[in-house]
Amino acid sequence: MSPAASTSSSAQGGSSASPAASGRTFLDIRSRVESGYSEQGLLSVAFHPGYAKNRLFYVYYTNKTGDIEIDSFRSRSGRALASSRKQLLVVNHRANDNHDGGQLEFGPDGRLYAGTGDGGSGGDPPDNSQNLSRRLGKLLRLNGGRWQVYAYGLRNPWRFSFDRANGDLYIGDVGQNAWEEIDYRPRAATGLANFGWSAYEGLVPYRPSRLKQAGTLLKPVQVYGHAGGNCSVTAATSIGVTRCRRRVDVTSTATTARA
Amino acid sequence: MIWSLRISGGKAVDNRSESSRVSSLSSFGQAANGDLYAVSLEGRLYKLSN
Repeated sequence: MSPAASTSSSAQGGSSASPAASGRTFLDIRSRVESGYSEQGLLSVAFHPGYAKNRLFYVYYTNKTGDIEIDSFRSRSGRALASSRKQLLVVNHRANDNHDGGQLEFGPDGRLYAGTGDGGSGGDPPDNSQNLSRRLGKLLRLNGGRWQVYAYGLRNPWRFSFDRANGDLYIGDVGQNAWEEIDYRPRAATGLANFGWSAYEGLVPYRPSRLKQAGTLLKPVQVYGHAGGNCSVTAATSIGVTRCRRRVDVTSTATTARA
Repeated sequence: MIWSLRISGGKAVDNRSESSRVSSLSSFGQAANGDLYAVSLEGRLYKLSN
């Protein structure tokens, strides 16, 4: 890979670079963002599919109280309008500073999706992820102004994406102590999906008695172990899933990354 | 490290390590034309090229 100059990227402390190549700051919400711990911060920016006309975009961040917050903004002349901020979601996350989730994406249905973490600590002590009444450890979908649970059983899905060609969903879910996982759900699938955490870590039972029966249990399509083999150098973490079909070389595959 | 796989018949195949390296990789991103980008917590933005 080679360094590039343009496109939109967010800085963890809460500023965001311009979507144009001007290099100037597009959005500055540092005063709203808590980034004291490495998993906190301004974690995602998603542009509305109609952004070219409506100038509407969305941000996912850890707010100053430690909660997950999703806001929308509009831009004018290549800069976000601070006064246009609308709060769309706040999820209490004060108990712990880890597992903040973070991804925002528009799906093939044109709706906004957000990946939330399980609330943090380790092992999901309050059993948030398998609890459908809580918005932690979930893939949420904004539908007609209301957030629905689209999938559950996630630990910290801070990066996921939809295949730009066919709408299939890929999630990189961070493991507990042993297994990182890649979750997959084809667009044609219907109904609620349960990706297993914290009943399972990867393919292995973790707290199996917690498993809820609602929807369909989907086991990961790929797991990566921390010990031995490919991941022995550092503690492995799935941090992203994306697809790129445009090229015909090695990049024309689902690409996952770990650090 | 960057790994790749693809889905065939609902299963992951061709799982492999790629030669590209991005230190402290925090996210991928895609441009409107499908170009793939990667960002590093060290402050760099990368574009995947042939």
